[in-house]
Amino acid sequence: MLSVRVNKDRSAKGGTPHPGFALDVHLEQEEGRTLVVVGESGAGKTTLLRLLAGLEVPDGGRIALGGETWFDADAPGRAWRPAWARPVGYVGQDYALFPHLTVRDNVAFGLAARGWRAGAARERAAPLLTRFGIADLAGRSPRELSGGQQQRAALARALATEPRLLLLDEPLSALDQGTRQEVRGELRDALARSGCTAVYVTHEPLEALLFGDRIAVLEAGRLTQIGDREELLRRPRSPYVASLLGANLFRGTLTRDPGAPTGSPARVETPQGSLVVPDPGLSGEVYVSVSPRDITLYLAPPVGSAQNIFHGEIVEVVPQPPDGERVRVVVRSRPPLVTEVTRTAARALNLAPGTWVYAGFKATGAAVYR
Amino acid sequence: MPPLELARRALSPPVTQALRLSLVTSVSATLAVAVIGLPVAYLLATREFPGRRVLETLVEMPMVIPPTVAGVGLLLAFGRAGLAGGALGALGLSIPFTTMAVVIAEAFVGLPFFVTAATAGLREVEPKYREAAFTLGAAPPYAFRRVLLPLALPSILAGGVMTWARALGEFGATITFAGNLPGRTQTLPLAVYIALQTDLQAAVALSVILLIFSFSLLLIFRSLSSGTGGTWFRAQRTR
Repeated sequence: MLSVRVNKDRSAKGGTPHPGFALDVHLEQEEGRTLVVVGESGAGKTTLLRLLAGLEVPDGGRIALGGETWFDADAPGRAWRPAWARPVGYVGQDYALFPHLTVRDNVAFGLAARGWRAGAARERAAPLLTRFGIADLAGRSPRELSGGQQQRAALARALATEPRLLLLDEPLSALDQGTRQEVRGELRDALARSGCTAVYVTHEPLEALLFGDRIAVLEAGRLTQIGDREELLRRPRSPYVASLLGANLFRGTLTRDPGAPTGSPARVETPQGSLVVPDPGLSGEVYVSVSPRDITLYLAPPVGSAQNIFHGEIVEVVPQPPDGERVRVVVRSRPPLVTEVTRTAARALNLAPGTWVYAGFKATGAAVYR
Repeated sequence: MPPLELARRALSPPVTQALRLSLVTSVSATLAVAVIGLPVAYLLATREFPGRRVLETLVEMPMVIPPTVAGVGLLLAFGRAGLAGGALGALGLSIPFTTMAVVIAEAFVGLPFFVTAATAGLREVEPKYREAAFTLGAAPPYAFRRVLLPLALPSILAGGVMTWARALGEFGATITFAGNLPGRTQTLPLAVYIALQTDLQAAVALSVILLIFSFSLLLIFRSLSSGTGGTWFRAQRTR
């Protein structure tokens, strides 16, 4: 169990870009699983990771992982383990690969720091380089690597020492959109395979949904909600959480009609129903996300280009934000959908809980990824 | 002066003696400065502590005080009645007017050049690299040796070269603290000064030698730290 209760006054540090509030976080995380901390920039996400890594000292509280205390303000003499004595791996926003070392020596660094002889450390790094597909770049300087390759090298370096806690600070934010798509799947597999406890920090709601077994929402230094994906999607406890996670996300198996011409849409079979999506050129298990704004509501069966049409009863109508111009409508269809329409449209259609509606979206409104 | 005459003079025993002494003392002084200066630079570059400004000012002092004053200060400190001199005297050691005194004088005036350059170099290394090393299990000494030092090496070497150049040209503090004993404390600049008063031709010869010597060494360093030589440095650092 990773158990964290920390506070840190960040206004004391005059130089920080977001002065004026304290970080105050209390959380527990089962070992071997990933916790995603999602929040806007300046919410204190990086500070939290730095406290866990041992790069900053909390003002008070306690940090412990599986019976090992890393920090305890109340222990006699104030227990403190510096970063180098904690079994952590840290992947920062810009990776910080050592520019004067080769990729191989970057990955071997942690082992060498633990007293391994250079040759033995490099030997041990080799399978990791292979696993992350950068074996042929082992002799290169990190400067010669693409963003995605740097990300892999940074992850391999952090995992080489078999950390018990892996800390990831927006590991995909430095990548361009296309690379991000590709690396995202790899990263998720790598996290699952490593089996170590991970804390993943991001400001991207989609990443939170993709990576988190559990998701914690950090707002201005405080956790406003922590729970599993479905719980947060179904019962957002603050307007911020609702707007943040206001996406429809499904997991299912991709299928194609055997005789269909290339370029025609594919289907994703989810436990709650079937969706028509643009053929992503993938196969197997995929994620599908649909933005609530891309879904249109009708009172009668629509005729037109929407390939996905679901009939269901409205269970909830919530103005979004509380006094805003838009309204969030939750429809209990198969699959269940969260939609967002303008206040005017909601009034025109007379949308209210109990009303049966048709919810439709085009195949192209669905994003498919691994 | 014809080149042949210059060469003959350059190889005369008094000149080679002074040149050798200059080389030995300036290199020793540079090494001593590196050993003392690196920890100081690391402290100044990475830590905030009370008295930091005072330490910075103290380190820079030798740069602004006249070298003869520095020599007098060293004489007072290492003289029989001085703080360091008293302690060494009890061990039967006397520093002033020895080759060791030359090294101390040169190191004293050269230290600020090294510490200033090394501090700037270490400060330029982004904290993320040091922190990455920490999270990978590297304690500060290891992180310093494997990450900070190699990344700041160009600045540190530049500081070393400046210190060495300053030590090679050192005159005032040396003559005050170490005297002018041929073979023991008479470095090349001192020899030039003495020659100037008795033998103008000899002074010119010595000066030309010092010029050529300094120029070639600086040139070698420059070409090593940039251009083709840069690869050599990088190779050394990647090892």
